[in-house]
Amino acid sequence: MTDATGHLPYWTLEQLAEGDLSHAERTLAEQHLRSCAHCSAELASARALIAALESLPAAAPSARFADAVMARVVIAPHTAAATAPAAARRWLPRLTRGWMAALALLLVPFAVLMGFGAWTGVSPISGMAAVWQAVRGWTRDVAWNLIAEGTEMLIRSGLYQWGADLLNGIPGPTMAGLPVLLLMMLAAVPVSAWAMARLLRAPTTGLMHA
Amino acid sequence: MNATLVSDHELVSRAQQGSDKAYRELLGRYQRPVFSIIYRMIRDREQAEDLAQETFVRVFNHIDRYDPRYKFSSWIFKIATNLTIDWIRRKELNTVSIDGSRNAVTAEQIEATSITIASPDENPEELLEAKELGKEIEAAIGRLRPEYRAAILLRHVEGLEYQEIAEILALPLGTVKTYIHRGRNELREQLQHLREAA
Repeated sequence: MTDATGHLPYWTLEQLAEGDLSHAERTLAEQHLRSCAHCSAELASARALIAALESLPAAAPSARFADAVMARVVIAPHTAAATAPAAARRWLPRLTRGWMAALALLLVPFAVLMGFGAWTGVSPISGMAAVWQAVRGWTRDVAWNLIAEGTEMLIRSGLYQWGADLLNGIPGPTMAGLPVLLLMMLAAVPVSAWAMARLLRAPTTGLMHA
Repeated sequence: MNATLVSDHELVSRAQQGSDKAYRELLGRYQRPVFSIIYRMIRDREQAEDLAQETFVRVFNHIDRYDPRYKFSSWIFKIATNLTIDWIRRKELNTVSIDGSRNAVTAEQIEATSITIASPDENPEELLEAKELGKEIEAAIGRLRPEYRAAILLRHVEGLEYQEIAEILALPLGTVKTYIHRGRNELREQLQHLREAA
């Protein structure tokens, strides 16, 4: 527990003064302190400093402070509490006419489905299955057409060939490429160090700076 | 309703709904600790009051941004310390007088801007001794790096836990412990002459 000089490190003495040492560490430290006047004096000094800092009296602002602050504060119900209902209210109709329009939007698809059923002579449920089948088939056709057209366009425009040539142009792993690889690895070291430093310096909380 | 029994979160919620009383209660709870930490960092009463005012105005005018997962005290201390550290860096403030504002010129201004650091129970001799010790400690704190100052004051004047200080200063826990250790070491060295005299 002692350092090269045979004494307890000041860091340990501070932890002891603050009560931050584990039971085992404290026992060891106290054992050393019983026979070391130097460390006992250092511990007393650490305790005195902490006590002096903690006894600094709190300072108070002037009597006009509160009024000066409130004069600059804009009090308006922004509200986290009211945010959710407010957002919901924005999307809800405010007038009777709005409610009727919303209801109509919900009922129109049903009316269309019923009409489609009456026209084809099948029940609305099986009619809905037929509509689903038609929509699915149409979506599939459009997707395939897009893929086919896209591929053809790539070939016709020469983009496909250009890409293939580019891939062929990349040399395979040879001894000549070794210095390049080493340079890339060397460049990666400061980049990773920078990224690690950024990560370590990142705020530990989501507290915001207003 | 007794506002003093209401939690900070509840008061913030009421302030968000536009309650003037909730703002004033939050102000009452935090004006002293916020002013105190700023004042200890810069040791200029007038400027500390301006910075404390700015802290509250920013917090209250952005009260809708408060994240209830964290303590309100952490949020307000974070803004206060950030503003103060920025100000110190801008002004490169190194030394100021405990006996009043640097801007004070006349005796009246010095008296008006000075701060009383002793308790009323102390006799004149103790008062003088405490004032001298307070002066020495405050002067020594004023010579620390702004980050060390903030960490030391949050720990020993406000009595916050290391984790909360890390959240306030947006630093890893290990860095905060190192800052406090180094800050105390520097203070100890600066106050060495007091130990020798004793």
